[in-house]
Amino acid sequence: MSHVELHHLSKHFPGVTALDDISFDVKDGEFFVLLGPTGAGKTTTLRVIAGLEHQDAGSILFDGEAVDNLTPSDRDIALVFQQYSLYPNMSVYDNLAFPLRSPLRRRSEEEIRKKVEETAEKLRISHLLKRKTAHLSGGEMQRVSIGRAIVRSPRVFLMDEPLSNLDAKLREALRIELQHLQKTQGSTTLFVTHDQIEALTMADRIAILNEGKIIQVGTPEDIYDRPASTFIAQLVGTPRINIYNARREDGTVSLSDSDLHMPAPRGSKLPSEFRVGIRPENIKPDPNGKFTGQLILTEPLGAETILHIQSGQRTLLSLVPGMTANHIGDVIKFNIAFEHIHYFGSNGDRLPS
Amino acid sequence: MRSEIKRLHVLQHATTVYVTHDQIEAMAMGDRIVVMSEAEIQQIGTPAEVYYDPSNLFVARFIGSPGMNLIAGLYADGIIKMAGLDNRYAVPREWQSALQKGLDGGSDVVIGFRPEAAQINDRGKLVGKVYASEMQGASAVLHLTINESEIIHIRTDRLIPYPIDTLVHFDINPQMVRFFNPKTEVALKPEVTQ
Repeated sequence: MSHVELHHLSKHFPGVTALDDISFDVKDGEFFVLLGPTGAGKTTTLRVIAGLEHQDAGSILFDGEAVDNLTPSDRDIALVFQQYSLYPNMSVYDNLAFPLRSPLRRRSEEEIRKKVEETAEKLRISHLLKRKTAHLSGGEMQRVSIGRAIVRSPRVFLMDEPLSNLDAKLREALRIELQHLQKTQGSTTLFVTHDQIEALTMADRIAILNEGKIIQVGTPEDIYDRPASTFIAQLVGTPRINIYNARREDGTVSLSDSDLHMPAPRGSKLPSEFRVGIRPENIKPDPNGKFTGQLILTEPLGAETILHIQSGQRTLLSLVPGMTANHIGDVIKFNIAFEHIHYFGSNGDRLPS
Repeated sequence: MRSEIKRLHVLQHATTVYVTHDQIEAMAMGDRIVVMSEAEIQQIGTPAEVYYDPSNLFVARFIGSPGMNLIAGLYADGIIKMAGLDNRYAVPREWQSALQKGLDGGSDVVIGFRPEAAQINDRGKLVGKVYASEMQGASAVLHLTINESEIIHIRTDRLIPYPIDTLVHFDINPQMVRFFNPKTEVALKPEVTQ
């Protein structure tokens, strides 16, 4: 597999800057996720790497060599899309064998059979090999699409929202399979998604893209624990982080529109006005808690429960394990894990700690 | 949107019947849930009831994300033997007579537990091999293979890394273990203890 580098890529369409000075690298064997909202430039980045679009400026390197002038097929990449691009009248076997039968890669039928069977086993579709793809379920079709990509050994896998059309249970199952496959094969993978849970659960590293710009690159832990801005803090994590405008007076931080006051972090150089972010799991109900609020809604999810706690004019979200014994309307006490509070400037950028 | 609808329902003191295919919406919003499949009611209960005490295998799989772990085994003399890795589970005493009576004279049984009911512990009686691990934000989920075809899911502290193929030992919180008859797919009921 290959090490992929993007150097200062820009791409303009009439009236829009789709990519604005994009640089990052995907290491050999890395599962790299591009995460961002619709229109951020994720798919354009992927298409430029594939050679389906050409950048206006910048360069793409595979293993240190520029591929800018290579055709898509000469770049030797494999693409998986959201829509399953399969031949409906062919069997699963023939769909998987198709990339191997290309005149560019002459192989014996015996060699092809071995590869197809191996791939089918990895994706748990061995029992479907004789089936026409038109007769498969959505999840089975996406397994075959992924199989078509991995059956040969390309330099890079490029995947564009491959799980988005599947129902929740199938998405969960395929997320696990994809990650296992990628780790055991050591393939270099660039995966595009707008779904933060896919990014957190599968990535070795994540790049966050917004309006054509990369705004943070890091491990899932970096992104979740040290988001570079309020935008990223709100994009990643569910339920959503609580963000407040705040002001510091002497040693006390007061959150706007609420009754929440807390000690300013020791030795900090907080400006007088700023913003704070508190993850729901860091708001902990406690009979001896320092803060008081009214429970206005509970949402049991099974393994955990979301509590909506009214404090002043704002509602705080708290995430607690299991089911809650409290009822809607109860006045409850809670604590905030001060050490896990995020501080941002008024412009939304993370403040240095 | 979900919480806004529920908030409106609460403020209006409304009577609401809400139809969804999304189990998370059902859990988060419902006072009670009617779980339906193939034109039949599978279970009627509060979110806690359908989550902790699913009436059958369909409800156990359908509710929860991921669903309940369900492992097939053979029951004899208070022990369930599972296929694959040499896993033997000592059935809590309060369940033993339910298993004797509820399996129609056979020994096939399905043991069920939620991902958060597994407690990782070096001396745990059960073992699985890491297939994948997922950082989910506040928590993590480990996916373990226990034989060639079955993967189970365990919620863990997200800060501990688990490379693929690591053996992980665990126990099941005895309050959160459930049993099913695989032929009828129905949940067994424990002996009522005083």
